[in-house]
Amino acid sequence: MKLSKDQIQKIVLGGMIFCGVIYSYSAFLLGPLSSSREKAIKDTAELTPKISAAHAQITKTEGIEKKAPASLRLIEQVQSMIPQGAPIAWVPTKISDLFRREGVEKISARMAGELPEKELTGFGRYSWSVEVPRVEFIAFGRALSAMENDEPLMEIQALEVDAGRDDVQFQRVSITLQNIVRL
Amino acid sequence: MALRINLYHEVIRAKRQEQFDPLKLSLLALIVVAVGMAGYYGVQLKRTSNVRGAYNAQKAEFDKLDPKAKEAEKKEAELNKQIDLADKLTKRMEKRIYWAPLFENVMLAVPANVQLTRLHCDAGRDKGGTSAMSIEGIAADVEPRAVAENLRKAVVARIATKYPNAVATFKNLDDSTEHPVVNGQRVAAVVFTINVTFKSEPDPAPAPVPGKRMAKNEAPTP
Repeated sequence: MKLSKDQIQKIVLGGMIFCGVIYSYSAFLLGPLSSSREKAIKDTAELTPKISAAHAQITKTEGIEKKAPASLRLIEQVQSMIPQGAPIAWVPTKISDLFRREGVEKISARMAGELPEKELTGFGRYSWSVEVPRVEFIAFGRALSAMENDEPLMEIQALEVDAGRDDVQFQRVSITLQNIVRL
Repeated sequence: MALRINLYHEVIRAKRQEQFDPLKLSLLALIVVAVGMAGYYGVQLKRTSNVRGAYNAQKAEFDKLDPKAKEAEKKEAELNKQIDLADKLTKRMEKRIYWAPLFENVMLAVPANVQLTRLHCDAGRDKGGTSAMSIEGIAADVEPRAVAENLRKAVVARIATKYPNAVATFKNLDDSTEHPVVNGQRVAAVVFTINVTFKSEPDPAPAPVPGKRMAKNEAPTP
């Protein structure tokens, strides 16, 4: 079978059109489709760990939320133990009352200074000097025990008990203590 | 035998030529290829649509979760601050040294022929947590130094029950010029200073519960 010149021209033209169609098909149809799919796959892969992380974060926070009420209660309790107002107005009175309750009458408490408090946000620390010029050791021990038990926010930093030479029954006591106050 | 002559061979050839026309054949092939391509495109479109559907579902889930996660993160930071503060407050209260029971221990270790003249205690918060107690006194006996040494041992043994790392040393142990009377007998005396140091950090004392009155420590006995 012999092809005429006209037929050969048509076949060549057809072939060229075919090639063009194939190119257009892959470049303008399959190509964008494929890249869109790949992008979606990539984005999905990127989203999966983010979703897991978000779930983990929510679960973690829920766990902390369960633990938090006890801590919040403790902070509230601590705050309720600190009266409102300037510490100088209530700390010396509080110390005097506490010692008086245990039978130690003569006592003087004065503020020794304010200390920097870096750890406890929202709280401050004050230093106090307490002098008991004449006290029987047993009564003092009882008062000290009561103070240590009843006042968890007070901490004795230094304490000195001196036995009097003249009257051995009584001692002189000086205490340096710190207490936590609200800012 | 009859002679058969095909008088239509020209017509048949023309028919055959028309039947196997290359243009017609290539057009048919083109249609087949086009259908194939359209089918393949359809399949790919379906796959892409599935993938995008899955992505959109994940994106919707993430968009819903992301603000919640961010809020949870903020809340966590806030709660952690409060938990940390509560922990520090508890630690601060637990770390306190209870001096009254220590005094009681010291007093219980003092024998009748020893008189304490001075007690000095330092919590040592600024000295790396090493607390110190200085005990000054006078011991009177035939062997006053032995009495003072026994007191040192007794004091450290009693304090070590609460603070196992307690160490007691003599700062001074000197003969006294005084000669007190013990049991009607004039005896020699020594003045002494015992330094007791201990670390309060591993203190296993129970955490005091704020707002709740704890059991009282026993008051020191003479």
